[in-house]
Amino acid sequence: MLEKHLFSYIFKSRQHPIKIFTYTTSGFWLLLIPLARKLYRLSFNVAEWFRGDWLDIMIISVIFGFAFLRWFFITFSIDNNSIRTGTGYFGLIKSDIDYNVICSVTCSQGPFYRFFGCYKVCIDTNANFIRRGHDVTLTLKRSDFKHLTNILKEKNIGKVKYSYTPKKVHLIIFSLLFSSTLSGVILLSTLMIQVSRIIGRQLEQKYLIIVNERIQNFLTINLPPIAIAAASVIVVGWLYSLAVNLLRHWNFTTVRQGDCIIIKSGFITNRESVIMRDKIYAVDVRQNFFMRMFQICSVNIDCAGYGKGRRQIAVLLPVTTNREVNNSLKILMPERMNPHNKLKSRFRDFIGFTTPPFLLGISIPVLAYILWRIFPEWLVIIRFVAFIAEIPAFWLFVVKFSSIFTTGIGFEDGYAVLNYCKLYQFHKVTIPADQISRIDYYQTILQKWGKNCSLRIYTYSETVKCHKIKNFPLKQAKTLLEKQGYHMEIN
Amino acid sequence: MKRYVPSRKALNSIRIIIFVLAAAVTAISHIFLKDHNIIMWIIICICWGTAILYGVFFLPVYFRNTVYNISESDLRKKTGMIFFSNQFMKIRAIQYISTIITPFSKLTALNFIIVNAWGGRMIFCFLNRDEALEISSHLNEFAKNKM
Repeated sequence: MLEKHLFSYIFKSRQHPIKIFTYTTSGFWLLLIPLARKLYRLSFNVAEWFRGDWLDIMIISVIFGFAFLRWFFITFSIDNNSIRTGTGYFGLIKSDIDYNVICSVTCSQGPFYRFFGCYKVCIDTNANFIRRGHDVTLTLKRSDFKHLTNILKEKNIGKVKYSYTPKKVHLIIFSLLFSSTLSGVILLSTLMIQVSRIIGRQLEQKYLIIVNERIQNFLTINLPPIAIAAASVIVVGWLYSLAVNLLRHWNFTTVRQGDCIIIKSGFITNRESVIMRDKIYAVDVRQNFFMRMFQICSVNIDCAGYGKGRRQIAVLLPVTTNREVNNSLKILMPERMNPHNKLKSRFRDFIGFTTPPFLLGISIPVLAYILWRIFPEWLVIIRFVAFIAEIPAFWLFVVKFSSIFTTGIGFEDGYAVLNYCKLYQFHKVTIPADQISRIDYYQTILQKWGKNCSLRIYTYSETVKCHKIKNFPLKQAKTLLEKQGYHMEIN
Repeated sequence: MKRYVPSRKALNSIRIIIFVLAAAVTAISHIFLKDHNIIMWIIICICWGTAILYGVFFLPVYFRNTVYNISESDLRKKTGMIFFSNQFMKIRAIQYISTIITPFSKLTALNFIIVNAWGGRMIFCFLNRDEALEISSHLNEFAKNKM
């Protein structure tokens, strides 16, 4: 009986053997190089090599053995109704995930995986507990991958396909708009730290010296070197983030077939996400101020697992015009309604919108003055940083002022629309009304005087999300919400 | 509504594991910290103090206070050692079930069920193997029937 059990366990489906190498530590390869060099120097005299480096060989064998055991104990089986997995140490965590609860399956194949013919597959349901983690992540062989995707797409075979492929110019605009300087700087710093670990700090110092010299020659005004270095890191970081974004979304295609939406993208790493349409909980049309001016927007979706990885964006339509967005959404998600604002904020309440950025704007020179009094010798750098910091504060003021004309909420045919501005971005979120789990209204002292209120609308999907919508007339807000069954009065 | 409680076998298994670990730490510190007597005794005292505190006081309290209730519509868990919590989960929120059945769990009762539901999870710990399998199949059936 035990023999039979062991025999069947050995022949269970496992991940691609290449996964063993990714289970080893990141420095594993660096340990191998000196060992291989020594073996070569000893003219492949293995006995001598073992005698001299037995400890290193033993450590590497233990690392590799541990990785092999991890690979061996992770098993899976793709059945007709569900996928069964055995994960964790010794494969003790046994899960049985029915295909009906799966929200999205994302597969990616980088150049390394492409060379070995394997795919990284992430399966997600609404039951995720670990932030930014997936329910199941497996590295599958081509045959297993085909088997899984065939089952997922089986129901939709023969159904009409509707596809949307953005123009390359749109993808470039999207990457330009959504490249984050911060993530670029983080990526660049990580790269620099890793490089400096290997070849010392010469490269970093050389880079800063070159940038300083070039910019000093180029500019007529005299800027502090640290400001030039910081600015250059920000610019290079942003360019790096831009390149990463562009490569990630190149060849972007969205296809609707039956009850699935299939999104493909990527230039170096190919990605394909199969998203169940009924598991998309929110559609978020995003714009920044410039996008509003040029009447373009980007459409994101909220579906468990999609766009969950680091620096990934859950985008459905990268960039489209305001005129085309509704038609494109009708094609991709025909059942989704497009409600209009029933309650809008009023222009006379502009103080509520502009006070926070105004306070931020005046606090910067005040802070700069205090710093100058404490560190008078740092005047140049304080003045420069204060000037630079004042620009986003002023921009925030402009954005918040313009958001007076767009902020609003509405309910129609079981759907809710939430129009609001979060930092520099305008959102138009459409969600099924029954997805709202809680609504709070709150008042600041100014709002209490003006009989206004702000709303916090909590929606649930994989995680609970909070949408803050500011400055509505209290009475009208209560009436609208009461009509929807949210009685805000407490007796 | 069916009521389940953690098995006493699990309590004894954890006690054995804790005391084996404490003995191992004592032996290791005795070997490696022979020359640093004070540090060695501090480590041994902390280790045995924690082991006795958990083995004699905290774990029995935890096992006595933990109750799982499974009904047709919801799952309830009452647990705690010093601070107590009551958890409630609707059956319709369940997405899938994960089970952890450890080797020799008939003797040790180190069996766990992880109920993965909308945006969260509930863990049923230290159940008898038969009970764990019964709950697991029961909940799996529920989860599949609601679709």
